[in-house]
Amino acid sequence: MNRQGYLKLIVGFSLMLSGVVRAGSPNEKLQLKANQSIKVAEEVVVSVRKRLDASKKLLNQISPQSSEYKQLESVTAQAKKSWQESLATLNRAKKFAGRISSVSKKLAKDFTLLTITSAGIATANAKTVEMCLDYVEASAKKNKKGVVIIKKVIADSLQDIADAKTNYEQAKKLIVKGKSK
Amino acid sequence: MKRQIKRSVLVVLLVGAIGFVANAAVDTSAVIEQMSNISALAVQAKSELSQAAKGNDFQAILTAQLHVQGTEAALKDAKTAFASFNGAKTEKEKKAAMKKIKAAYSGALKALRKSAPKLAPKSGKTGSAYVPNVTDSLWKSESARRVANDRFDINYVAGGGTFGDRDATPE
Repeated sequence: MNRQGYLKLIVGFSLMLSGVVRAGSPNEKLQLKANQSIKVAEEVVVSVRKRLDASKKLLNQISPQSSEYKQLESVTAQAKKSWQESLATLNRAKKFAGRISSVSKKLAKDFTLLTITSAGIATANAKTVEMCLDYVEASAKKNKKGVVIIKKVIADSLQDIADAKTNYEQAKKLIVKGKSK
Repeated sequence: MKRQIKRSVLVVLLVGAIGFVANAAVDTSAVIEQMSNISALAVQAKSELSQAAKGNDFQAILTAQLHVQGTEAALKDAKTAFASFNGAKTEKEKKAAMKKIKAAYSGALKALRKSAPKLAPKSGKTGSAYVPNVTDSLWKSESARRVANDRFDINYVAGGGTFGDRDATPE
């Protein structure tokens, strides 16, 4: 092989290496993002737990005979259920993150994606719990304007979480597809 | 010699193609990730609004409303782009949809950095910021405002009546 041939071979290998590096780099970025998402979701879930406890205390201050009590009790129950859901989603995300190292590169990327999606849902879900607790607190303070706004944003955000869950299901399907290949 | 050159050219094309293919295809997983991110940002903005509403902070409510509007608009754009991504038949169409979703995500992040203009008193004036009076906008006329403000007596005198007339019998 002459000089030109070697040169072309070097250029070719450089192209291949750049291709491999560029293909690998987003995967690392995704893994980093997954870890960050889990950290954020963890923090949100912890703060929600604290607020949920505070909300229970607040509920105890309201007379069980009052008309507001039953409504606030149901909102708190809804918040608790959502908190449990977000905790379960977070644990699932962590589980996926643990499996990343044990699967192939293509699947690793998809698992990371699922981790991010799960952590995103956990965060969004926990945020909705916070909104429910805001509703309880605003009601206790007789802040009518606040109650009206919060009621609307809870309804809207539930729709956003439903959309996020749809994306999550699609991500899961993508992984099944990747496995069958 | 010629054969060697041909072989090396082939190698160049082959390895180059491998590198290119590894990057070229639009990644469905990346699209779903962006969609999930935008949904989470929209909920985050709404949570901020409910916090502000709970605190009854007028300025914070205005800023949070701006964030909600921005993220909602971004989510709407992203949903439209995602629908066209799912229906796309060519790689070009997929890339165009992906670009729109990325732009929507950047738009949502940008919207979250915005803040509402401060409600400050006009120059030379002191006191608290101007808060719109609902009664003023609903009752345009002076007399209507007086009635609304429960100043019937002043209104009655301004209309030519005198005190005592109200109690007088018609005859």
